[in-house]
Amino acid sequence: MLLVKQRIATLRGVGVDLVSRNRVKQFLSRHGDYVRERFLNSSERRSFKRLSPQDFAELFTAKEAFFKACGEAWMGLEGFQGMRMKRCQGDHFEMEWRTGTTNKLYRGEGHFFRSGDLVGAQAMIWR
Amino acid sequence: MIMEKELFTKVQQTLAGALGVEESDITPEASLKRDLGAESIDFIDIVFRLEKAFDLKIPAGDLFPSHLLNDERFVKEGMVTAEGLTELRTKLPYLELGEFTKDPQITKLADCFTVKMLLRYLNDRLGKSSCSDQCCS
Repeated sequence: MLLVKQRIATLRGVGVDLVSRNRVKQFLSRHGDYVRERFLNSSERRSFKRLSPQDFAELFTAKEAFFKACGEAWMGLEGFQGMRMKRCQGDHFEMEWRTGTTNKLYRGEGHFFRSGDLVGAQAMIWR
Repeated sequence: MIMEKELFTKVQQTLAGALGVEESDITPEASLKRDLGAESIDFIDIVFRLEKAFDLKIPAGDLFPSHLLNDERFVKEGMVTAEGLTELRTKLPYLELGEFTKDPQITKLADCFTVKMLLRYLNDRLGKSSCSDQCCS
């Protein structure tokens, strides 16, 4: 009998976030410049020449859902800037986050979903 | 120099605008998250609005202790350690930990972010020596 040793990935954390597109629109119209400078990291600033409410809603919910999945405390703008999101096919995304001082690395994936005015993201981290 | 009453009124207006709540609901004791329903995007909105309203820049670690929470000496298995609590008290004197010290789950720390914390912080940043009872106590 052939024994196959299989590594089974276990779920380390799940996070979900939801935001209203209208809320994002108001937020961007008030703080557009600040968001660009303080929320986006350098690669996002290059990618998003113009940040639409939809772009920001997705970026924000993906990062927020991901940090919830990590089980870390809210780290404010500094935490958001440290996360790197890669948009994949369809509504799938991958995320990587190396936290500040301890250099802890989190990797995970997720999906976006939408309902009316709401944009949401669900993120998962596997062990 | 901004007066305490004026400071509180300006903070009330700022928070009411960001959170869509009545100014009368914004008391010094109110927790931004638990009582006023602030979500993550609201925290960012509040920081940006306060910066504009008071013409100052609020550095990342001033109000939200991300630099401390990344340190394994201060947070272990989702709980703030005794050393971490001491560090929070020292580095974020505006924060009132209160009941949090009895069950210091890191995810519950946001409950300690109160209107009073903002008032104390702004009071300090705007150069006042102390806060009177009317404002922050």
